[in-house]
Amino acid sequence: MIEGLQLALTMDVFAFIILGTLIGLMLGALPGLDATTGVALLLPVTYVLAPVPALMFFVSLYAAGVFAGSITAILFRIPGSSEAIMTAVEGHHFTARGEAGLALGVAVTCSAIGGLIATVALFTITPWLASVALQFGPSEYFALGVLGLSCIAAVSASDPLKGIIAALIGLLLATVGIDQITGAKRFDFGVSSILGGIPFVPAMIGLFAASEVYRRIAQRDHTLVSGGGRKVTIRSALPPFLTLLKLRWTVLRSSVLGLLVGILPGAGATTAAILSYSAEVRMSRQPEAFGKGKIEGVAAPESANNAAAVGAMIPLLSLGIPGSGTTAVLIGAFLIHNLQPGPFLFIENPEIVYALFGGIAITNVMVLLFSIVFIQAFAHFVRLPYPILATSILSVSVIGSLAFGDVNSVAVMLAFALLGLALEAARYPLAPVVLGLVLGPIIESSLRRALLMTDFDFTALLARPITAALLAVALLFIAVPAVAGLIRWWRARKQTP
Amino acid sequence: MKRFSEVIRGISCSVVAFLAISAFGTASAADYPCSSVEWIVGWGAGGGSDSFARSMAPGVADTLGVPVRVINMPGASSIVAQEEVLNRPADGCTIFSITPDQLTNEITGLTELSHTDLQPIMRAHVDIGMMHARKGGEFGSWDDVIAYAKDNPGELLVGGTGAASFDEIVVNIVFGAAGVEFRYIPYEASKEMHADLLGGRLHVVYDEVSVLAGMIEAGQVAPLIVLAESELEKFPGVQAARDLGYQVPPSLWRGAAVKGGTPADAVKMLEGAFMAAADTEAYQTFEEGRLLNLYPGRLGADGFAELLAGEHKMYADVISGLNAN
Repeated sequence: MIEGLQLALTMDVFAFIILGTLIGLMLGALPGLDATTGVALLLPVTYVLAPVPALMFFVSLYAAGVFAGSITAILFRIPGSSEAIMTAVEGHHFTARGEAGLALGVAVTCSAIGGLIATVALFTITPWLASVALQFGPSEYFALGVLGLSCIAAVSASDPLKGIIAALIGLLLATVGIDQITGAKRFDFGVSSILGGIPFVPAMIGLFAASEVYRRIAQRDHTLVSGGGRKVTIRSALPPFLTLLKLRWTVLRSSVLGLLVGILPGAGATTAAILSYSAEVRMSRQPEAFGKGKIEGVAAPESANNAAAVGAMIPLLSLGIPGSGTTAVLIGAFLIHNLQPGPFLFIENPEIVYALFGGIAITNVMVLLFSIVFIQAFAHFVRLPYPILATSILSVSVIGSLAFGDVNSVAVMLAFALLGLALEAARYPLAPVVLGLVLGPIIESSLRRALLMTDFDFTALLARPITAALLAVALLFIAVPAVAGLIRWWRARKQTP
Repeated sequence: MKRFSEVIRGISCSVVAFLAISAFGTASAADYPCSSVEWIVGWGAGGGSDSFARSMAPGVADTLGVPVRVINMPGASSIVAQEEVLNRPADGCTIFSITPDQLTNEITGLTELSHTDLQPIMRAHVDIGMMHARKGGEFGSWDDVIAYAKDNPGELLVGGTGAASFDEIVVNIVFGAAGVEFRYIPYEASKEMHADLLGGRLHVVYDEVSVLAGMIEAGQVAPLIVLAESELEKFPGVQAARDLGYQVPPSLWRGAAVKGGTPADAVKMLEGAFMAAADTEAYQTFEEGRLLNLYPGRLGADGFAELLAGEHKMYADVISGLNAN
């Protein structure tokens, strides 16, 4: 273990960690480019490197890339990658209030802490976590998805009914594309670009970033920071220690939740971010403050998505099954150096495994250090006059969407921009749409797959303990606010005869 | 403005191409009619088709004397990419990565496009398929599987990727030949399927050797039969489908094609360049690393065209049988 850390700290390896972190930050911050693409593109370049520096380079690129998406999410409501979606929902309110520095600082610190907590788990309980991951089959994924959906009310505190409608829009849109179970075409209208489902990143860029620009143009609201000419200053990227202390339980809870979701091959950092955000709203004494810029709403998804990204390494290294899209691409990085990720690697090359663990730990610290510089650089953009910023955001939205296929992705982006504009004008929350879009495919295909396995016996699903437990919690989440509402209504009726 | 990702990809490819050219000495600058070639891969970065293209492209560029850029255009089992290629001129400046999915997409009606719209260049390799069970699980051999399926008709759970897909066709051919009932469980991504196999929720999965070699080596998964004409040297003792008297289903392969109607001399030059690229060290290392060299798979343009026609018929027969049920 110690040797692993030492190996990670040798000069030629360390240099690649730094390089990977920097490239990861840059790729992650650009919408449309993410760590997965980065790893795949740079794979051939590392043929010439020794295995350890090459793998370190990719692992640090991956870990840094997951964080960097939050910078643009907070400043411009552009989720640089899908994991940053909840950060965009909550974090941008801080920029509007002139407190971008606080949100960015909390985001980067919580990311690093979440990543480090997950790394500790990586060092200590990897085999146990891998066996937990294997307990999750289709019925468990279905229950997990339902649990996620049961949080709709949580992410739309002001008007649950509008929240449910928004989530249904998301679920409806999630049915577009090839049916995973029968292979039939659904709602593709002859456009092959959406045959694989609505491309998620263009949809998110449209729904959040572009719609925001159009809204401001429509309302002639030409200041990124509302409340007049208050200058945006981001003096320090590190938040006050007291703020962090206040967030300690949020960060811990979200990191553990993120880690657990991250180890599941069928769910990823995006689901982790959504679940931890909803959980935080549930736990909060002021759930109504979420969605309007509450710092817990930034801390939770940020700790969770980084913990999930690290967690995804667990099934990869112990079972040979990638826990996420990027780790699937990382397999390629192992293979070109004649290493096969899986239990064999632990036995044959433990020094490489521990060096990787060490590298992940170091990367999380590096992200913290580099982000301070990186965020300062981005902060200059905030001071630009809004018309320039607006055109830049729209250009980036178009380019980012193009990176996900063809021109039709841009059309998807623009369609979602209109959808976002319409929904926000009617005061519908956007977060439930994301919830439906992300969880819809998980819920639908997992349930149908589970039923195929049990020959359409629903009770057999409930006989599985994890499934039953998750569904029970979901039921509780739905029932408690409903019952509380009924009681309030009944009391109010009694008082007014 | 060029797509940013394309620019990045272009840069990385040209760097690799440059390295390749300097490594292999002088480039033989043939008179290829394009100033550059784009290789469109219908799958995401990092997958089998993508790695194939990226290991092959430098060698092709070297022989043609023009840069070859690999571009990912994922979506709908590469239908999006196929459309893009067919919308471009038939000048040999755009290469398409072809897999059996082009045949199945067409037969299942996912797309109106046909494999006959394409001009095959070369089939590079065959990725042998096998039926696998969990090591140390209830099925120690293929006979156990068949016995279970016979005792419990329709209870055998067999996993594969995609619905009405290549995998489902192969599974149907194999179990049809064995004469037993089963339930096919489709997966979108093989990672979830592997977790379900190891977690004991699936009895058998179909997958290619390149995907599962690591898990076999690590003793997590046991191959039961290999879907080939004869036993493989790499996996002694694993019965071949032919030896069991089964019809051998088509294998997964990867190759390259261009738009139909491309001038014959351009096709000829491309074929030559691909054949040469298949001998380069970069490609050979890729083949070896992923166990894609267990079975001779290389075919030139004519042989490949013949194979496509033959397999098209075979898939069509199975799918019409599936629909009839």
